[in-house]
Amino acid sequence: MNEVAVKTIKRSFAYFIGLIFLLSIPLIVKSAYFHHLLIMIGLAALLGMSNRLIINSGAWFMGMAAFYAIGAYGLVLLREKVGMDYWSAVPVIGLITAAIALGLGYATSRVRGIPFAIISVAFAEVIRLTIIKTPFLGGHKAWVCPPPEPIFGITLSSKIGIYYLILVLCVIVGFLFHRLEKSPTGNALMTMAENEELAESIGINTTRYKVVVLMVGALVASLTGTLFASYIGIIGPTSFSLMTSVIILMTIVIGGMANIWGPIIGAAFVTLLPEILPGQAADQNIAYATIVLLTLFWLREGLISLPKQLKTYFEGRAAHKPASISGR
Amino acid sequence: MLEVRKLTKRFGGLTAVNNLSFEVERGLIVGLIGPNGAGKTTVFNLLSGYHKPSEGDIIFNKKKISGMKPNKIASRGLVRTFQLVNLVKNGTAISNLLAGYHLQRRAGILATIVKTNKARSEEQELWDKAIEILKEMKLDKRWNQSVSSLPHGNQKALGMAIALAAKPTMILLDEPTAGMNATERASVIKAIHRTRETGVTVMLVEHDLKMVMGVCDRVIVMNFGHKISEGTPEEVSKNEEVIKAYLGYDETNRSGKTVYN
Repeated sequence: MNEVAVKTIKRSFAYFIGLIFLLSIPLIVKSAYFHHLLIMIGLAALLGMSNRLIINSGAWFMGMAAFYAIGAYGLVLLREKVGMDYWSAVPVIGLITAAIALGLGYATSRVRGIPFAIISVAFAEVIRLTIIKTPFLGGHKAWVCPPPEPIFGITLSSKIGIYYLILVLCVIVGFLFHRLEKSPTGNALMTMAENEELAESIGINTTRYKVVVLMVGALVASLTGTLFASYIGIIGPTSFSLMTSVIILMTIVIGGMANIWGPIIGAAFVTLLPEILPGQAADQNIAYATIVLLTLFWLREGLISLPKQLKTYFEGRAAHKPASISGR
Repeated sequence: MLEVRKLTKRFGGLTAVNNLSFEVERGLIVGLIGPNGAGKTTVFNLLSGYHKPSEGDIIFNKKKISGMKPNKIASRGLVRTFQLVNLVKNGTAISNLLAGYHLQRRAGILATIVKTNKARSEEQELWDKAIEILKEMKLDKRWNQSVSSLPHGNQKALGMAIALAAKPTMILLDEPTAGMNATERASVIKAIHRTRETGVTVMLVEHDLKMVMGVCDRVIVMNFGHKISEGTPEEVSKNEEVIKAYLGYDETNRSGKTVYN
């Protein structure tokens, strides 16, 4: 058996163990608070993965809260005003999100770099302010959203039910995004992100790819929004502020951009850190910010580069030791 | 194959290309030369869609391509390279080269994500092709190296290989040998001849006149956005206008005996 095959088997085994662990952990640790944290990590990971996908196409999108809000508000409105259930509302929301992302994508197709980032922030603000200023959408008022209806006889009103739903979604989205990245299309996206001129010279339709990627990212974010709304039960415009977009971006940057594990690890970090910090909210924020800054200072490539960094650190020390001893 | 009619490009008050017309026949190697600032690279940018012409038409394979986007023009078989090294710097030699096969892939995005057998074998085929090309370039041992660590000559040659991977029927080479040493230059010239033998029409912009005269079947000379001469290398090198443009005007020697090189 060759080395590659052994590596593949080892890796599949690790994934299998990891999946078993994630499937059984809510049954072992029976604390509702713990379940809540797991769900929040899952939601953050989904948002992070979709934002990373968009960024990997070369577009620094900083307004994920907009699509998150469209999903959440789409769900409550379709439930309240139209009387749809969760499962029939989701495809409708998908269509709406895709249409909005399509429009945004084509409108901004010639903008790149920092101007694009600013436009995406403005877009998120427009969505948020539209919600606040439109009485039909509820304004400042919060909406109540019931949990998803049971499907295939599985009730999703409990935390564990929602957790499994999100876990399945995370696995599917993570797998597909990872495969996409490693596929020829992923290579085309990388070429486009790093060198648009070259990409166009070899026939890559950069506008179309950008728009499609934005649409896919938006769809995942809005689906996450529907899950968030049905899990939390109460949504208002404050959940979709600029800060939400920034935190989503933070999960990727802290986790690392190099692969799909970045946003997942970043999501766990960003979600858990405020929970374990002691003290009042204000002190917590200061400590939170400090830790985030220090992490970025030492691990420029994010938390996923930690093993590599440690390895070079210890190897460096091991290499230095004999020299210093023999020197004496 | 390629026909340029009264092409004009203005940047504000500056007319970079002025009323330029020429034709390129299938299977030839055509050189586009001229002093610095003559508008050669602008012509290439117009031909490949990176600039939109102010006036005039570009006809490629009997279809008007002026005004099309670069990727559309590339998909019609007119592919360019760049004057400066233009690669994905963080990418490896092979990932850069594989990107060049974009237009040749038939498998859909979904097929490549779920890795159907068809998509897998197609990718394997392209991979083998790419390794073959790297072998020819003597880069097969460094296929997995980041391109920024390769020597300049290799990077430049890789740029041409990427363009050829897109299977063009006509290739535009923007100073293919700029900044190369003699051995690298010789191998590029060989590559250009080989490209023509596979049926690809070549048009190149070049500063190195020795190379142009040795390689090209026809030469178009530009100065200040105008075409000042066109013909075989011998004809062009005897043209007084061309000599003037390159060597300046010599009052004491008007007999036209000046021969460059």
